[in-house]
Amino acid sequence: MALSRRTALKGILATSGAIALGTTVLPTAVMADWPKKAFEANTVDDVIKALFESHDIEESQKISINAPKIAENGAVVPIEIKADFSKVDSITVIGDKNPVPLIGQFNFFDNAEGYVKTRIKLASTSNVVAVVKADGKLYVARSAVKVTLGGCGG
Amino acid sequence: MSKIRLLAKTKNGTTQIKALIKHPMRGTKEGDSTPADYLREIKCTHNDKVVISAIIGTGISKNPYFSFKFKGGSKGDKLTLIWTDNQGKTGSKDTKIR
Repeated sequence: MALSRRTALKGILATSGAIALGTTVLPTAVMADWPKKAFEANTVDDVIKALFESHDIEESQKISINAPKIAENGAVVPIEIKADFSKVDSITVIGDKNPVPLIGQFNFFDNAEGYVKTRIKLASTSNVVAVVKADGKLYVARSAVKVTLGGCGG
Repeated sequence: MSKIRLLAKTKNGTTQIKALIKHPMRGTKEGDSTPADYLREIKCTHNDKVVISAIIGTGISKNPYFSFKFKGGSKGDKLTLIWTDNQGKTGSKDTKIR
C-alpha cells in the first residue's frame, strides 16, 4: 500500500484546518458579547466608533465625573460617574492615554440609575472620558487626572 | 475561585449594590509570559432579572470594586452578581437586599 505524498498532505491540511477553526470559534462562542474591536481601538474616537452606531456626540453638563485631581497611584484611581438623564442606557469609561483606552461599558436596564462607582487604572496623566448613551443620543464629559505613578504594571 | 463580597441596601426607594471581587485583572505585558487573566463581563440581577451588565477590560483595577444603584427593591429580595473572565471561567454570589 502506498500512501502518496498528495493524500498525506491533504490529511495534514484537513486536521490543521480543523484545529485552527476550533481555537478561533471557541472563545467567541463563550464570549459572544465582549467587543474585542472596541478594546483594541487606540483612540477615544475609535472606541466610540467601535461601540456605537451614531458618532454624533454632544458635550453635557448633566454628566458628573467624580475623580481625584491628582492620583498618587495610577493603578487604583477611584471614580464615580453620574448621568442625570431620564433614561440612561449606558455609561462608557475611557482613559485617553491608556494602552487599552476602553476601560468598561456599563449597561443599565429596567430601573437601574445612570450611576457607577469603581476603581480604574490610568497609565499616565490623562482624561477620564465618560460617554453616556441616553434617550437615543450620545453625550460626553471629561475629567483630567494627574497621575504621579503610572498604573499599567498589572 | 475568586471571592466575591456583595452588599445590597435599600433606602428611600433606591437600592445600592456594592461588590468587591477578588481577581488579579492582569493584562499581557512585554517580556512577561504570564497569561492575561481579567474579568470581561459582570452582571447584576434582581430577582433573576438583569438590572446592570458591564463589559470590562484590563483598565479596571486589581480586585475590582463596583457600586451601582437602581430604583425599587425590597428587603429580602434576591440579588446576584455573576462574572465571566477572559479564560471562560465564571463565578457568582447571591445575597439578600437589606
